[in-house]
Amino acid sequence: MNIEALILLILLLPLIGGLSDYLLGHSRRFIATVFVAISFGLTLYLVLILENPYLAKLEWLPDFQIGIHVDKPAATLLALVAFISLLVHLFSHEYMKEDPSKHRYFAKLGFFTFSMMGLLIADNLILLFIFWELVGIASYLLIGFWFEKEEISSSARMAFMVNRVADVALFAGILMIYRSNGSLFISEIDRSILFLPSLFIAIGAFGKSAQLPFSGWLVKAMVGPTPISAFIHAATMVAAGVYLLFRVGPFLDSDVLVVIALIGVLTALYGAISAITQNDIKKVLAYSTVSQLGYMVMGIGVGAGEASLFHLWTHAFFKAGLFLGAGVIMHHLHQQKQFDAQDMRFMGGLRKKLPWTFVVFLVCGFALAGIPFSSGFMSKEGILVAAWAWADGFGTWAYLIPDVALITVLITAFYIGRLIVLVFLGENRSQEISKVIVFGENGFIKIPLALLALGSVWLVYNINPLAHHSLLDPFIGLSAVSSDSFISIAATGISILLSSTGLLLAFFFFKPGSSFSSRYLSSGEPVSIGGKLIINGLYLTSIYRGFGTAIFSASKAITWIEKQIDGFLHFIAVGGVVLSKVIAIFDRLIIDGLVNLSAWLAGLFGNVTRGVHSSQSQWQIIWLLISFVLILIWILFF
Amino acid sequence: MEYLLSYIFLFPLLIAAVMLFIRSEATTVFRRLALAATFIQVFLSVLLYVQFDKSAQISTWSGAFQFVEKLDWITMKLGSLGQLNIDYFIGVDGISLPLVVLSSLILMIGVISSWKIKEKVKGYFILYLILSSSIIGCFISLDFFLFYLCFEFMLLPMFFLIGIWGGKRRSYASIKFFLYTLLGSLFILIVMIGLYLSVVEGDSNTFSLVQMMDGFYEEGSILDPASRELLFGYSARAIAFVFLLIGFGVKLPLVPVHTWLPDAHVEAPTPISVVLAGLLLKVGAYGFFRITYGIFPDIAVEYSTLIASLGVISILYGGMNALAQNDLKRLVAYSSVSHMGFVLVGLAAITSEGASGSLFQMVSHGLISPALFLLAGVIYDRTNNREIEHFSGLASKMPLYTFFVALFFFAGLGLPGLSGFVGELIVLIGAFKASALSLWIGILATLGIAISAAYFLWTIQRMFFGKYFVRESAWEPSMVDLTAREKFMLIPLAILVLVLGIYPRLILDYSEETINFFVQHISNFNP
Repeated sequence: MNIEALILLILLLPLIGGLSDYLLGHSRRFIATVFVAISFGLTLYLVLILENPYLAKLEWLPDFQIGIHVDKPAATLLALVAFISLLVHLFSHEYMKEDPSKHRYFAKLGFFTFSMMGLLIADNLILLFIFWELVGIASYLLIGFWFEKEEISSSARMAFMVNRVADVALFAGILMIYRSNGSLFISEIDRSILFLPSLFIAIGAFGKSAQLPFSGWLVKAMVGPTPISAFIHAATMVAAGVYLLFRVGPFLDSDVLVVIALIGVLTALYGAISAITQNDIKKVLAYSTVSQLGYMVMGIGVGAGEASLFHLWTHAFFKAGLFLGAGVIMHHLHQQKQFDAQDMRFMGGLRKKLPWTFVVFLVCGFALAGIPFSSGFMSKEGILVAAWAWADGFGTWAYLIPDVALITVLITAFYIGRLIVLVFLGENRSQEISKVIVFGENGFIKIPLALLALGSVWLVYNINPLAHHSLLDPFIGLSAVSSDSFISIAATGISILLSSTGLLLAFFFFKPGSSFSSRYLSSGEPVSIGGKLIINGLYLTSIYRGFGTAIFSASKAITWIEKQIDGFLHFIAVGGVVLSKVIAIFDRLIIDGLVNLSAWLAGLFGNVTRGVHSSQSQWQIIWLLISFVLILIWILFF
Repeated sequence: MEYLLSYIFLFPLLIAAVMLFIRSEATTVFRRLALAATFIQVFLSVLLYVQFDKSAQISTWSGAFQFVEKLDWITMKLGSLGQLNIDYFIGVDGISLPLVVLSSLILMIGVISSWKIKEKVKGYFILYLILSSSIIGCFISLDFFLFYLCFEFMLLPMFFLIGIWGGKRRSYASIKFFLYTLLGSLFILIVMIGLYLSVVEGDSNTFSLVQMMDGFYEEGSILDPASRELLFGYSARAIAFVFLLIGFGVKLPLVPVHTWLPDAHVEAPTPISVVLAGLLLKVGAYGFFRITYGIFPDIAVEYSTLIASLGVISILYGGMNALAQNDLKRLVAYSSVSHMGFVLVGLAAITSEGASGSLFQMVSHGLISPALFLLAGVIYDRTNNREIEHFSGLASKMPLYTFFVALFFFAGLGLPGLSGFVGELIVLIGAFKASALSLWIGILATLGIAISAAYFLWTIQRMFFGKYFVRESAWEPSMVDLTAREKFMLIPLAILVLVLGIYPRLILDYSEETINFFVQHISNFNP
């Protein structure tokens, strides 16, 4: 099979599958799932046969080409997206079983997969932006899938708008590159990008990858169906920003790279701290994604793009596992309407009811925490070591970045430990749970979960559990993490220490029966300002809303200006009418008046002189004579 | 098909003349006749499109036009003033061809949309057909006098169509529209006379736009670029340029001379809104291409920052106004102001990308905004109401309607894959590439895409998402999904928006040669 057809098939199969599911109607169909599976198979084939990067160009507009570029990183990520998409499809068959608009769901899911795959292979920045926007709209449609609920549709809109604002920066940045570099092909960029366009591109990536200050939308996006959350957090959408930075990172302005590293590490810290305080299981995971994306973005900033991409890959597995697992828990608990099925304070003891999910949470949670023998450990180490080495070359203040990143490791282990303890250990804290269990774990649930957990184990990537690079290296480019051994050993040691401490702390604080745990479970929402700030994620969403309100007020003010313009013109028009009325009065009274006056005068004169004309001919002859004499006198004497 | 262009131009007029002899009770006859007339027009336009030679090389404007027909029309001796020569002179190039095709399509959809007109059907369709001819005439005239005649002749039918068949405040809106555009045309009239006195063909003065664009000025005449004539201390050509800017700016519409547009759009009956937004605004933009930029390239180069700034102001100002609207139709009207701003920005860039982008944006907006007005009409037909806040959760009740609204809203907010994105993209590429324009012009224009997303998505959320609700329970029985007639209007537009979004060369290939020559012609005057 030739490679163009292969790539086209990979790209279009999910789209076509989704559309045919949609057009064929409501019944339970598997076309979309089967097509995605085929697409996944083809991506594996593509990864195997791809030797050299494949380039293709097309003159889309006159004198303007767009093109695709499939190299090994792109091909492996295609496989990742297809794989996660396939698992999400499978899982959704069970999860969305009772939803009447399931066919619409699968159509959108197919569209989402298609857009993300297109983004991965786009070489031209405009083409990348096109798919970037399609990813955005697909996520909008899916987050707002249950649009009847006011809150859900407005959250979807907020997610889209926050992204769109960042997209404006990205779009402007891309066009500025066109102005200065003349080419928009990533593979043809040959000199570094100027400061302003670099910054704009970074802002665009921050938006999609939920970095500060755009992080709020990702938490809002939780209202969508849980498999969609898994998809967004694992392989699509948020990965787009990291991927873009990975692609253009080498050409970005060096000052902007420092900004990227800083924002990345701050976001990592922000996400982790916020995650500690959440009671909603999905929110813990959402903030955790924010935090992990911070690591990846930081990795780009310190020049370890490959390590970031590796972390993107491992994160996709364990985060998808955690999210789908959370979906199982929520579905399981949803049959009791008395409480919030996402609130961890009402959970506990679920390891008995949901053993598979428990194991998955353990494996994936350890990977998230960065415990050795997990995939997450290997990839996160790569970034940490690179950051340390980078700071070594920069000077004292730059150590801030690896230091904060290491502290975040501790916090990460703590919040995920807390989650596992609260959800699975001890006894169930809501009484009715044991009554009806309709929803359990079945094949559609188990297979995706098992595969994702499997992908979070070190052995898949390298035999040596302490290595920072993996079998994936030949595919995503050789990792830059071959720094001198001291940094490598130190970073590894410290981070193992920190992550295990975090887990142990979590266990001792929250283990069933401990005094802290019982105090915590009976407490309400935090009241202190600091606590409120943290649990609400710095109120980012409220800030967005305030911003939106401000814009709306500005638009109201502008309509006021509009009224003034219209009023002014109206005034001129009315003025014209008034003036014409005045003129009409002038015309009637003065001009017409003068005419009437002369007519009246003429009439008066006529009346006066009429007396002269008598009906008697004697008088007429006398007047005739008098006139005759008068004229004669005038002629003779004057 | 020697006189293809004349057929397209005059056929509706002929049908209108036929209609005069039909008794006015036969309402269906008028509808069918009008539909037949516009359908034939579409057919002929497609023929025109197919036969157009897109690869013809252009070196002068006189060689740029195809399907040219030229006949002596009015010749009048004016004693010592010389002779008045007016020709029936028509033809199309790559700029006007897409607009002619677009016009016939939108005019046909307008007829279908007029099916529900019940009062004074005879008068309505006669006026509508006169309007059709004048619009096409504007796009194909190569004689300034003929252009001006058609330009003015659009006003009269429009005035009556709004004033008789419009909404509650129709007489206010129609008079406002009339006065505004009439005032605008007076400025154009002055420039036309000035140009006639300055441009020659052979040894006599001429109204020929081709001669004007190619710059055959009589030596020492008032608008001769070489003579640098001053009027009140200003260059006569600069004054003429500003006059044209105002004249066509009213039609475009350009902030701050746009306030006729929301009123006219809101009060006009749906089909007339469709024609107004889809085509009348394009006549203004076309005037910019053909006359303002075509005949005054030297001044255009000088004023490019001014023009681009006016465009940016229109984009942002129109968008912000749209955000504040509660009336669906008003919202769409202001979004038109915003989108037409891109046309100016693209023109001011004076790059081939910018100019093609402008043209593409005109066509794309000519498809999207009629669809949006049709969609606003759908809800108005059912409830006699268009207040956004009176509806909620329509998606669960009218899924197909929601689908089309979402599609065209997405097209309006510039979603890739739909035509709106391509227009804005090419314009912005042109604007960023133009060395004459500051970077900030491009960046501010880009902001427009965030604003348009804000108002469109907010509207979708308010009207279509959430729990189903309509304000008056009396509306309940009429809340049914799209009828066959409505689908018949929307589907072709949807297909075109999608096709042009994916394969924009369907238009750009046809305009490429002309646009390149157009830009090269202007850039010759770059200082």
